[in-house]
Amino acid sequence: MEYKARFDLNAAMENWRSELAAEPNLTPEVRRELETHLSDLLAEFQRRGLNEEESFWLARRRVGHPQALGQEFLQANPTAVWRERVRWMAIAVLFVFLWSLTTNLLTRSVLSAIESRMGLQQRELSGSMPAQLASVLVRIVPLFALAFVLLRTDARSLGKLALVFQKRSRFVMGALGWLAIAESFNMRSGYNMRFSDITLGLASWPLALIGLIAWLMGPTPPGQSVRSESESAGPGLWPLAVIFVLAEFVGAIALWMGGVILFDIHYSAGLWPRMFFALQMPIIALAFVKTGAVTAEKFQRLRPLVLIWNLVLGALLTTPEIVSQLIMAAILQGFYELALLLARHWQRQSNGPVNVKL
Amino acid sequence: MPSKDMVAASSKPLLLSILAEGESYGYQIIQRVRELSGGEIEWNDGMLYPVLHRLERDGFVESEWKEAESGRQRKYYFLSASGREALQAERRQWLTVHNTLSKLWNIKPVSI
Repeated sequence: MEYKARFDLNAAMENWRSELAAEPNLTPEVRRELETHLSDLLAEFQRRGLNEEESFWLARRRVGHPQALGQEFLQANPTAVWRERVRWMAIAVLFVFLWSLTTNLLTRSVLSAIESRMGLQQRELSGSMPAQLASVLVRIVPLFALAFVLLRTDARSLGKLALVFQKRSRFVMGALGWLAIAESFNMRSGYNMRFSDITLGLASWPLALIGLIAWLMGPTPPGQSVRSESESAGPGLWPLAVIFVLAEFVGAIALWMGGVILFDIHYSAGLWPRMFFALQMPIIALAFVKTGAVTAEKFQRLRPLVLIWNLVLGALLTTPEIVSQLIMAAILQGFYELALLLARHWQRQSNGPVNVKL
Repeated sequence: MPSKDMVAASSKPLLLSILAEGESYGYQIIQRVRELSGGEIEWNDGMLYPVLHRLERDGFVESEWKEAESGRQRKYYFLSASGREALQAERRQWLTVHNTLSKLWNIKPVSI
């Protein structure tokens, strides 16, 4: 009697495919190429008289560990890998935005239904502190719970989708952290439902745009990309998230000190959405430089334009009083300079010596 | 058997030279290297592709998905014009090293 479970080549191949797909540094085309290689190896081993199972495991070994392959591909072509990452970031941000919009509409309609049922004035309930807190919790808690579950559970029990998602979850987590920050600022600046939508909408479009550009650009044209060699697969979105959070906090503190304390100017809530673009300069610079869309030099050439734009924006955002206008412009310009410094650093970091492993 | 460093350093001239013979795909290239070196140079199969992709990114090779005689789709690589130039440069460098060592080891040098 045969007790051993029969080896299923198709299932084994399928499993191998999903392991490759889980590696964010391997683009679909690379995966297809590796698969043709595996098939060739399989055929060769079988020709030499090995059975299906032996051939498969040997071929699999010869092709290499998906994670090690991912590392190598990142070194060989970081721009392609970064395009894939930015794409996932954009997807995560858009997902969060849509989720937020949906839950917001739901809580708002529930609250206003209760208000009209109980004969309360509009916004009497929905404008109250506990209701605001509840609506923030309704938005954030399920997202974090979902991310937590997907990070913790055994991938196999959730199927292929989770396996793919698990590796990308850091991107999604970054987006969630960003949402939490945005929400906490909204709470402080006199919470207003519609404002929070505008904030999120405006804040997500640059990333979405970058994702779209990365998508449209497709595979790197030979010899045209930014020369970038040594870089570890490393921390993924985390540096991005940290920069973003820092930018938000520094921006908030600078505004607060420059405006409220020094000049007793109270900024309206509507100012924040307009500020978001400037605050996101570093994150935009990263995405552009890493995907090879723009070089740090081109970014630098934009300086005069950015300066004029910042002066205009500074004047628009503050009271008609020259000192605070200039302070605002200086803060905005500071973000651009920071972004430029980081862009140069990232590009330099990407121009290190080549380390070929074969 | 050559050391890891030697294998890594020779990967570029080897790949360019093999592709100079005509277009080829990853699996075939590895077979060819094994055959040429009498099994002395063993490339790690999966790691060949990052190197090929880097050469492609640098503009030395180009690639295209094509159907092989077996009916399977494969990604074929072929040398570009700048790849040919790069190969000449590599050739000069390797032969310079080769000739220097040859004199010390009393082997007949090759003309570059």
